[in-house]
Amino acid sequence: MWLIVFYHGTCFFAILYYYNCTAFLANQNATFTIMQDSNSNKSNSRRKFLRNAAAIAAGISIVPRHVLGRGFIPPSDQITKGIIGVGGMGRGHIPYAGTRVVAVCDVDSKHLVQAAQMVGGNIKTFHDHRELIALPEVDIVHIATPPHWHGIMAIDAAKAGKDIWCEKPMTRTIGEGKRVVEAIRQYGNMFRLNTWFRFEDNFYGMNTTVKPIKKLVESGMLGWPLTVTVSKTTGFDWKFYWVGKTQLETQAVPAELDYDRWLGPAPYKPYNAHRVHGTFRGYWDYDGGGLGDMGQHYIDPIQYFLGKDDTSPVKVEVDAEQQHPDACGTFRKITYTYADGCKIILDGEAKDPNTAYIEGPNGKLFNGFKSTIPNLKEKLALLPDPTPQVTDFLESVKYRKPFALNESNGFRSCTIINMGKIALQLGRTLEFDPVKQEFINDAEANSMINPAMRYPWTL
Amino acid sequence: MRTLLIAPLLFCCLLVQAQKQTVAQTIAVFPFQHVADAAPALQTMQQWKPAQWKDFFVMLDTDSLKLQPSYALHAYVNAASLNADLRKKTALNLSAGLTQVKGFYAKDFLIQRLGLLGDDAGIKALESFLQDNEYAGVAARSLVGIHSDAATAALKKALATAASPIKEQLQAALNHAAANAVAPLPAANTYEKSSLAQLQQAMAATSDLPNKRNILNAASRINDAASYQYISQFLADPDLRGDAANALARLALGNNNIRGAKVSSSLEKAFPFLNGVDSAILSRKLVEADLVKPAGNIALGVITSAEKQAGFKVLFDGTNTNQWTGNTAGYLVEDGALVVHPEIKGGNLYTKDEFGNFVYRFEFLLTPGANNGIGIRAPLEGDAAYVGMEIQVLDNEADKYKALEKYQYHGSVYGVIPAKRGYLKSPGQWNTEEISIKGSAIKVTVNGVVILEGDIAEASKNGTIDHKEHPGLLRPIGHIGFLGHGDVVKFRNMRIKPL
Repeated sequence: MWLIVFYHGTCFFAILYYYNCTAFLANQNATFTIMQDSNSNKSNSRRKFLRNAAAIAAGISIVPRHVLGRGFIPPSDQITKGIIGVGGMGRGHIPYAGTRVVAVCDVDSKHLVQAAQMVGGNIKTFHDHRELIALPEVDIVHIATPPHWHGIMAIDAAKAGKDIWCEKPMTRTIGEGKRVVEAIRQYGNMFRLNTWFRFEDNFYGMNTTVKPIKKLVESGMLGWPLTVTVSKTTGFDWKFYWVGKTQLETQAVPAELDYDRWLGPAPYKPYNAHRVHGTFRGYWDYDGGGLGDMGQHYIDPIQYFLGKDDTSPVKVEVDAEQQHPDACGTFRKITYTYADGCKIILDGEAKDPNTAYIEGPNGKLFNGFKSTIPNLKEKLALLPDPTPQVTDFLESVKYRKPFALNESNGFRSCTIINMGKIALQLGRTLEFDPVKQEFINDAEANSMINPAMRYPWTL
Repeated sequence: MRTLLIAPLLFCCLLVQAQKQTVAQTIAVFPFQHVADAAPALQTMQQWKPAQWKDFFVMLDTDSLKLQPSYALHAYVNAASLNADLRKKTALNLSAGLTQVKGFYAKDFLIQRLGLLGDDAGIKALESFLQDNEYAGVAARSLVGIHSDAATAALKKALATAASPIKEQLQAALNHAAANAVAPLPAANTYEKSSLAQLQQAMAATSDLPNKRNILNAASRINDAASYQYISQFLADPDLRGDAANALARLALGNNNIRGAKVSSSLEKAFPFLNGVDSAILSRKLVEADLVKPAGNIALGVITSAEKQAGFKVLFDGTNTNQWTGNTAGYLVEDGALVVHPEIKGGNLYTKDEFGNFVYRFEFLLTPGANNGIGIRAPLEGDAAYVGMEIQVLDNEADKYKALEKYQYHGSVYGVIPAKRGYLKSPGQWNTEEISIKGSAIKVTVNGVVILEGDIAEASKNGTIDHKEHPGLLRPIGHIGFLGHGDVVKFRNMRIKPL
């Protein structure tokens, strides 16, 4: 039975497939953060609740979540979005379900025209992001510029009372990330990053979602502490083609590009086409090579399943060719160590085909979810599911519930990327205080946490 | 005679040639493949005389030659920044280079290196660029990177006589420095290896707040009950309680032996002071670990910062009914919830305040077959369903209710507007609800689903669907009440935003 419910003046609606109505309804409940049963202090009863919620939720995985956004809301009632930065990634944000594009912004007029044509209709186009952010008809601001702009735009959007969907990596520096978290707290916005593996989708070479990995880690079957290795052998590709060029010759700025505005807070360097539009990923001033590009996709779920969303590693060691001061290079190995002995190893060489993805004192987990633990899948099926989270950003926006990957845990996983970038550029081991969020005994590293921005841009 | 002059001349040329080659040879190892490979070259560079630095800067200033010097200087500055003497010497060398080089690349590069190097010896060279339109900005930012009083003073001095557009750039740099003041390079982390006893002594001996915070931070890394107890006393100190709260949360979460009544009570005290980027995660973890009971002002369903910002205020925080009047004997506070005790007769419980237009959010838990109601815009006497309005609270799925009128089910404006059914959790589980009313427009949301949205005037203009008199529909303002009908129901986390 199709059941379509539709209210004037609100954006809420439901579409039920004819498989399982009550399960769908139960899913609505299960997708919210758990309600604590105040009658019981025992973890047993909470686990039972979680198991029930999970069992119900599992029954309706046949109703794809993204279907809930399609087609049955009159355009005037849909949640709206404005996209800043409509190059390759930004134009990819246009069709995200459940929202309607009302404005786009770019400093490349050709990209702007392209995006406007893709959306069609009467959307507004801007050169200045501050004008887009000020539009009363924009509900969510999508930030799809290169990372060196993310901090400024997120904070501007927060001050304007907008909800924010930000590309990864969250910010280019640790200092900007801290400021974004403060602004979101102060202005009460909903914030999400554009990475999602901690709560959905096949996690690269593991061939499962992150959920069974989280259950495995929480079960204690592998022991503690754990070492996680991210490499081609364990199922993850470091995109080392994002290296910068070291002998860039000065070129004429193309007529359609406002290069000064594209640079924004980044130091002035003479124009060369390789600095912008996709290949910006190869330059420290804007991003951080393969580490900056894929790092948060790979590392955010690790913080999640290790239960370390509220902390950072205390040490980072690098083994790499010397990095050029402007152009990012490659690395052989970056090793992060936490205070309790857990490690994350980013392995760019992948020499040993027998490396486990996760290794603990009592067991290993390999690429493809193979393990040294017998009957692992059956054992995991008996365990309760992890705490449910809000995984539909429109739920966050409508009901003001923090999204699964928000400014807090996003900041912490981005900090791992940014620690690695600083260690690579300095070519040495760094120690970090996760509470103060500063490097220990290294003034040069600390001065890279929050460098001053090029006038007139500031946080 | 001529041969006598030529020989030494030739010799000098050869010597000069040899020096140039030596510089190029030294830096040939850059970019290194392994950082250890560069150690000999870095050593050699430390011994360079001004003449060799001069040759080096010529290379840096030459487009076709600048790649290796760039790598070399990058590595050299990184190494030099770690050693106070070498740092100063290098700053002077780079300053000399700045008077020598001519091209944008070399000047910009050297100015940036001085900022990264972070030594006062570079201030003079940077100052000289503060009147130059092309370099004032990057020089100012490098001065900020030095993080010293002398550097800030140099910026202020230049600002006093600067004109636009340089004036604004200098001001911006000073603003950044002020907003991000960094303590001067600290001595080795003084307290890292200290025992708790040593930390206690150090704390007693100091009155400097940053120092105290460092001591507390060090104590928080000692993972045992003794340090937990030591830190908990600082919850009483307004300057340190934020740090103390975060530290206590982390210690308790990280150590199963830190438990007990004293720990629970100190965590409850600490809870409101959790702060910083991790406060939301720490709050949630404490509740999930049963270390803190979910009272009215905690995590799930709480006044979030968004709600605070939006103007919500707490009506019931899980500890008392101070904002309520009427049957306070029959509505008891238990475990952070307001529980109906139908065995205690006494009528309804109402807010002391009156509300006209508002958004009211709360949670409720039904027992099987339960029946209650939320009175809104109600007077303190009479049947709120008619002299005010009642938003029904009902266990919809109970057998005895299967044949009710549609306007009698949960969330309905009782007798006036029916609500959708099917969105309640089973009895014994907490549900969220929001009642939003402005003028005659009313909306009821349960567990995130809007189950009722309507207009009271519209719905009653030709008489209400229950064909009864509802004079309360015309009241613009009144109390919010719990209208018990003899069943056990629980409520908690009540907050309201007057519109």
